[in-house]
Amino acid sequence: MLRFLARRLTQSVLTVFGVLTAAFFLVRLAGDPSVLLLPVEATDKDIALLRSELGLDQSLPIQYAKFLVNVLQGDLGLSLRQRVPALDLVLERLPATLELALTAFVLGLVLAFAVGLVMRLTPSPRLRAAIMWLAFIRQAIPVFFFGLLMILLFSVTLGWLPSLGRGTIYHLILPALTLATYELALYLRLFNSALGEQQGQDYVRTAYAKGQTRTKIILRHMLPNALLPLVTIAGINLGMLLGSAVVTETVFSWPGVGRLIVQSVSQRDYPVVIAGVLMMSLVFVLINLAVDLLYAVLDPRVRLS
Amino acid sequence: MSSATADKTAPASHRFAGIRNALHIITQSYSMMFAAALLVTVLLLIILVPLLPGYDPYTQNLAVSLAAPFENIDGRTYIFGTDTLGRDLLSRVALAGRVSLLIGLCAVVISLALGVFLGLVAGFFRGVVESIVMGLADLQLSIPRVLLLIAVAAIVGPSVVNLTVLLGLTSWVVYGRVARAMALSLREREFVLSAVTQGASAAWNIRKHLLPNVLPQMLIVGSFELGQIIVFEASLSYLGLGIQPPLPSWGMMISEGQQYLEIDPWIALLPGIAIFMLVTGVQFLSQAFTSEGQFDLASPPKGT
Repeated sequence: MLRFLARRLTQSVLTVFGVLTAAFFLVRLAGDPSVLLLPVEATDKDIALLRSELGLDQSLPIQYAKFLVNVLQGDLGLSLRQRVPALDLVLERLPATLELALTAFVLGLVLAFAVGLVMRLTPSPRLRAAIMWLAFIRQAIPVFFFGLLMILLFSVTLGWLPSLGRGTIYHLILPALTLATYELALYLRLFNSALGEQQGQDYVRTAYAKGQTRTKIILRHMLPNALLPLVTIAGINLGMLLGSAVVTETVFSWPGVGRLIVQSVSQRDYPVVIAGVLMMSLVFVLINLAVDLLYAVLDPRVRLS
Repeated sequence: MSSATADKTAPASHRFAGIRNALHIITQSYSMMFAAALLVTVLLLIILVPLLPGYDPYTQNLAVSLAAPFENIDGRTYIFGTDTLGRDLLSRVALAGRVSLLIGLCAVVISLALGVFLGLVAGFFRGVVESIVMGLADLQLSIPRVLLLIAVAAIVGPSVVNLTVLLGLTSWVVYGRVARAMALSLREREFVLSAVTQGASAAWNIRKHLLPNVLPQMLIVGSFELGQIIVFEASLSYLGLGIQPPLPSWGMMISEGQQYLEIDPWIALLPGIAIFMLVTGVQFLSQAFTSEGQFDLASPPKGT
């Protein structure tokens, strides 16, 4: 287990390093920040002064090394608009994003679990087909359009729930459901096929032969085996969830990192964009690490491979 | 995976067996026929509307702004209604569809070419090349794709060409992984080994032996990816980072329509329904091809 842990940790560190490198070159691609920062009438001398102040007159490898040192010290530069550290702006918004993403994640899994079991246990093939159909249709609707449909139904038409902002638990319901139903649709299909795979296994036939009830076989024997693929996919899919959260935050004016990134893009505030993307990637890497460790605990074979 | 050995001497009827099987699957199931109907409808709309008289996605006319669907003003019926600036929504939805589909197809071609190239090279040569390519794939998957697209779009600036190239360059991983996996098994097969022993170059082997064998699978993955890419493009356009005005796009139209949900929800609903129809149609039909058992989309390789 320790070796697995060490290998997996190294991998995560390498990934973060790669993302940082990519971010550095992206920012360089964006062009000379001194041109963006200074007014049009700035003289060559002003530009040269700012360039040396920002360290832009040094060679690329030195700039890169400095960038890495700065990042390790938590310095991602100043916001071009607000003149405060970009990282502070991102950290300020992070709780809102985590609140939304985690609520949606847990909600999606719980719903998938409940609906998936109902689907397996129900004697009606019609109900099963109808659920799969709904899941497929939900998956084909882009998250921002589904969010808009939720607003149209629950806020505009029925007037039950607020359509934008963050504050009470009611504000959380629509954006979390928008994200969770996408997860639900995906998990349901996988859960269903995972349970279906167990159906023909020898141990299931043995249990039937011993005279156990169908409900008990599904709950006690098949369910634990069908959980593994669900955990894997849930982990892999977290990136998708975080990405969708970015879009969902904009739909519902949810004050999270995603909305900050999108707003900063339109204001050409690159340090904040990069800080936001780095933070989201870091969160993603950490969650993936946690999922892999969980997976290793659930399935001993993973540790040995 | 190993079932796709391209046999060039096979008769034509054999070669189109995949398509005939898929057609068979489609006509066998109601849901498939429904999806096919959705796709045909939206494609007809996209293709035919710009050919009709009265097609005009740009002219603003404040006198007819926010017309409801099928509203008749001054002797002209606006089938989809108009937006806030009085532009004809039917024309705009159709033109946006053309743009979306074109970007999607081009992006799929770019990513397919790049992914197949990198995947085959990685799988055929193994060693350092493989480590680098797979490392790149892992790295790219460690940033959520929407975020990566936002970051890069923000920096290179949004334009149709940039958007297409960007979507293409960030979507190669699926093809790369599948192509590599297939190349790994193909390179050990007798027909490749015998060509190698007879002195065939790696480039020749990849082109003549590996490529024809992986291409059918890649096209199936591509047909599924097309739906995904259309959604990504619409999402970026919704955020204002994709297609820029005056060119209409479904995503942008939905974002504009969101402000008028209470007055005229159709401005946002119609382009949304169009996306749904196109994506459902494309993805359902790509499933018709996959259910031949060639490539199982329900269990994609890790990280897709």
